[in-house]
Amino acid sequence: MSTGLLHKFGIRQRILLLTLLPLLFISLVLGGYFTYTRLQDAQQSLLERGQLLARLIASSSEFGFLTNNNELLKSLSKGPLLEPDVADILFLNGKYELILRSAQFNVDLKAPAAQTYQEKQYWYFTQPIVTTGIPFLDNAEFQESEQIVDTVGWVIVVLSESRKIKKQEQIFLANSMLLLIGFIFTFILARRFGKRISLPILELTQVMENIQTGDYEARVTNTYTGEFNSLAFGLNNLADTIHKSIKNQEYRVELATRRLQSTLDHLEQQNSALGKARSRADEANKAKDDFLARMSHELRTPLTSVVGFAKLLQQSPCSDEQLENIRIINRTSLMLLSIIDDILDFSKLQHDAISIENIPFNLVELIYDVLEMQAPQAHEKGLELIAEIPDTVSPFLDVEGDPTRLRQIISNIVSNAVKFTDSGCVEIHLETKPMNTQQSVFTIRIIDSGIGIPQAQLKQLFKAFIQADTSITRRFGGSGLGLVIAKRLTELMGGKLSMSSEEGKGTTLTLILVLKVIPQNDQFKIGIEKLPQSVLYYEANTRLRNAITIELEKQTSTVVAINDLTELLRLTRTYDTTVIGIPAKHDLHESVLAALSLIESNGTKVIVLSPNYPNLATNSPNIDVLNKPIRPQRIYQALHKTPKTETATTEEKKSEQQIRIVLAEDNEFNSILIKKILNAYNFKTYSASTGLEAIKLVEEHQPDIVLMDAHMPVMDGFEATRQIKTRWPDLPVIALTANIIPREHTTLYDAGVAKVLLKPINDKELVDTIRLLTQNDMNTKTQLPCPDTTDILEYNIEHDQIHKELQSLTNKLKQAYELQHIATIKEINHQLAGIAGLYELPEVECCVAEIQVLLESEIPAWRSIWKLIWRLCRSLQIKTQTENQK
Amino acid sequence: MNNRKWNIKKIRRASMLAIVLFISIFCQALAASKLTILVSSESPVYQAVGLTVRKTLQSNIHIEEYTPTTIGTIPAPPQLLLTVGSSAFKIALETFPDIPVIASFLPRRVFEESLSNSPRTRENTTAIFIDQSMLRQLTLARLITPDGTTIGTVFGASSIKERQRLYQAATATGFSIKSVLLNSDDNPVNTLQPIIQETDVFLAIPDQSAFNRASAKWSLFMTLRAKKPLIGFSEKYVDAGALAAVFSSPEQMGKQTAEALDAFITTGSWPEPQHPKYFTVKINRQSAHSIQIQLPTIETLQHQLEGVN
Repeated sequence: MSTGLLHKFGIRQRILLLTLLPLLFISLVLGGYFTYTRLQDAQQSLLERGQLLARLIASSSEFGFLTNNNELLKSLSKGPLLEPDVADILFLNGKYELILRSAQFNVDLKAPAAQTYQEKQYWYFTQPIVTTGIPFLDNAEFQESEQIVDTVGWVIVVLSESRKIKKQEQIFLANSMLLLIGFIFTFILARRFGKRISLPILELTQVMENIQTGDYEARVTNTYTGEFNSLAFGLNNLADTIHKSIKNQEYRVELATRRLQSTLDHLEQQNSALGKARSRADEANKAKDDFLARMSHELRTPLTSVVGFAKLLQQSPCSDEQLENIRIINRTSLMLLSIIDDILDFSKLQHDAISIENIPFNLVELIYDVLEMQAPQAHEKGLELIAEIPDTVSPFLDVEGDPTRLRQIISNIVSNAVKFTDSGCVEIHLETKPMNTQQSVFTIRIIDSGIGIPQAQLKQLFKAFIQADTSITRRFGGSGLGLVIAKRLTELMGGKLSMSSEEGKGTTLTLILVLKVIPQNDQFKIGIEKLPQSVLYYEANTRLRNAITIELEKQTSTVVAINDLTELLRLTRTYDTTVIGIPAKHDLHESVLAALSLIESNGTKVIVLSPNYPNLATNSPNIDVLNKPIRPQRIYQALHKTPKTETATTEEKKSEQQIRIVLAEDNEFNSILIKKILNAYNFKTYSASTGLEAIKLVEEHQPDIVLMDAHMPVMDGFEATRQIKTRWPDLPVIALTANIIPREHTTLYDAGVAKVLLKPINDKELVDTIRLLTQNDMNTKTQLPCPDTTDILEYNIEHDQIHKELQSLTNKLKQAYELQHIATIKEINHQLAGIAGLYELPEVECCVAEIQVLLESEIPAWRSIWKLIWRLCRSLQIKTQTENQK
Repeated sequence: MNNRKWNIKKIRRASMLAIVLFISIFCQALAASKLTILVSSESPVYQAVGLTVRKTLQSNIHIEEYTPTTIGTIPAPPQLLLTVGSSAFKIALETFPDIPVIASFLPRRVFEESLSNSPRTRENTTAIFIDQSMLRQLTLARLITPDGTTIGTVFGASSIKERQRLYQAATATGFSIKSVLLNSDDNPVNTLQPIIQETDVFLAIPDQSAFNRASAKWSLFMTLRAKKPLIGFSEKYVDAGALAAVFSSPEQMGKQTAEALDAFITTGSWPEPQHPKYFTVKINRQSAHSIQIQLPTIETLQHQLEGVN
């Protein structure tokens, strides 16, 4: 029986089985053994009986045989024949011949021998009849020992098996009956005793199960005998203990639950408090952001005014001393502006508020942009700015990244380099190494020949507000945040910024970035065709000379670079074009300009590579003046050009004919200005005053790009951008906003804008961004120096018109205030903000921003709003008066 | 009267002869100083005879005893040889043909037959027979059945030689003999039954071929059935059911042998071969009761048989 089957049985069945199986086995074995033995005994008894009968008859028959007395023999066989199983008795003589028998059935006699055998249903017992004697001799003298075994005949007793079979049947039946009775008796006994064992166990088990199922009141109530009683007693005790233990545990759990609940409540309260604290912190953070924005705005606004007024002063008739003073004002203002921007950036970085863009841009152009930006300061100090772009880098190389932040980094470093270099040059080396099929490692080294930094202070420089020497701050100014910001931005881009320096020899900053390289179109891969011109090139600075010579050799067939003015004058006639680099170093200007005037008189085609500041008053059509640093394309254009007919700007503007723009701006004045800027660059413009109109115009004209004001009636710029991007996902959208708070910028980016431009609008930045996003022809990408602001006069918008508009809006604002119509106030205020931002009216912008903040609060501070409106009016009046005075 | 005359004559003749012999043998006996006993086997019966001879022998003579297996160890030809049993006598006849021999404890017919077949003369050979004389046996039969007239017996191939002596003894004791020859192949019951039925006493004569254990049994069976006395020839037969028997024990035989030896040592001449002088009579009272016969006491019988040779 398998263990599995045994497991299915209960204890009662098991006890029965355990009792019955061995007993049954033993009974069967013993019963079988005894039955077999008895059957054998019956068999043996038959045999012994037959043999005994045969022997007895044989011994009794001796006399009958000796006397041939058949009657005697017959009488001898009568007795045995009365036995029911004696079938026949045969007497045979010594020759084994039948003398006498009692029955008449056929017998099968075998050879004469004392033997027992069976034939069919009869057993045959053959016994010889021998003569016997008595001992009668005292000694052996009378006769020798005799052997008187003399067989006188044979007797065969034939026994039938019927009796034996019957007896065997009886034995079998009796044994079977005994076995059955024994089994039944054992079964009853086992069942009875098994029940006496199993019943208590089952009852105990039942009680145990009840306890397990949670009935802790369950107890064994019956009384048993022996160990079961002890077990029951133990089980009851155990149940008591468990009951007590569970009660205790329940009490503890309840207690713990209460404590936990209390803790949870406490935690909830703390969470709530934390939530409130966080909310307060968020609000504080927001307030800080707003404060920073306001403060930067507040600081920038007067500074812009200072710069603006300085420019105005510069344009007015002034003495040299005044001009110098104005220049100083301008420079310090810009420095202050830069510091404010640095602080603002640092603040944003500290709060991870800066997100890195991933848009395509031209890295080489960016480097030249930075150099051009820094050129005035460098040249002013007599420093040359050199860009060393290896042959392996295409001038049309486009990469994906954040151009604004990269520009900021490089600009920061170059600015520092210029700041801390008194003589020599500042170089930018670009190296590239492909990392995989999509990305390359770009290494930009900015090397200066400045004062250098002591090794001990190198690491300090990447810490905020730390400069190498406190005297530096006093000597060179600056916030000390430039490198920190650059490093943090580099790290945000996944790059690395390191610095090495040798005191007195210069400093090298290495910027390593991994950028995705955008595959170039085939047209960009076509090399620049060399001009069949011979060029004589003079440049005093060896490094700059080498750099420019390389570029010239790429573009012309023959280039001879010299650094001797005498030789320049001697050789200039023999070359088609003479390129003269005016040194940035001031003390060399005179001799070079003198040489230039001599060459000019020769009528030779001359290209002058000039630092920013010298005003070369030349009207000669043979002379082309290119400002340093020199972009390769510009040299190429200058070499190509023979007569000087139009300015480069005009050419550029004409080339933008095909770009079509939808401009969404609710403020009419702003719209006019932007439209004029765009028209100046020959962009085709379609104007809309709401987001809805903008969508319609996009649908109608399928423009190349959309300029979207953030705040407009009917449908604002956010929603309009979302819808446009949904329907035309490839159509780039530039958002225009006066709000510098990052949250709004993030929302705009989330809506799908490609770039957020801040008001006041920088026309150059606007145009560059449009070009960049529309992926225009690279040949037309030549960028102009990018002024910080837009000269509105350049676009034929009179200040009077602006003032009138501002006046009109201010009056409307007053009326709305009197009506205390917040929505109208907000609308007018927004329009004012737009104009102020666009036309760079810091005073107005400041007032409008404050009004906006007050309007945002739940209970508008009407008095404060009124004060601001009044201040706005006053500032407009002052402005009008000033304009009138002009 | 005639008998007395015959006895006197015989006694005289014998005395004369004895004197002559005594004188002649005495001289030889004087020279004999060692007796060699050769027993047929190491059977206790033979040992008892030898032992009794040693005890009873009056003469101071050195005695050595051998068996057929140790006969080779006899250092020198014996001066005087006593054989105990038939086989010892037969060996002595072959081995020591010239040595004086007294054969003891053997049947008469064996002695006579062996001696007749041997070149040895009767002069230096004598014997003490184990079997009782026919006269003593028939005398016993007469004592038991004083009224009996016929006596039946069965002879075998070897016992047939006793017939003459039986008839002589029967004549002397007043019985008529009815005997039959029983071969080994014959049915003993069929042969014995008429003899027993027709005679008053049945005498059992030992014979290997005729009177074996089966014959003895059936004789006993039939005599008891016929209520006829059966005179046996051994103690065991009486124990088995025979009515009476006269026989000599080994000790009795030894005693008589020692006397003969003493006589020879003393006189130098051997006595004639003779039947046992000493004997024992034994009766079976149970059988007597069965056959409803009154027997005298053993002492009476013993007494009356003494002197009967």
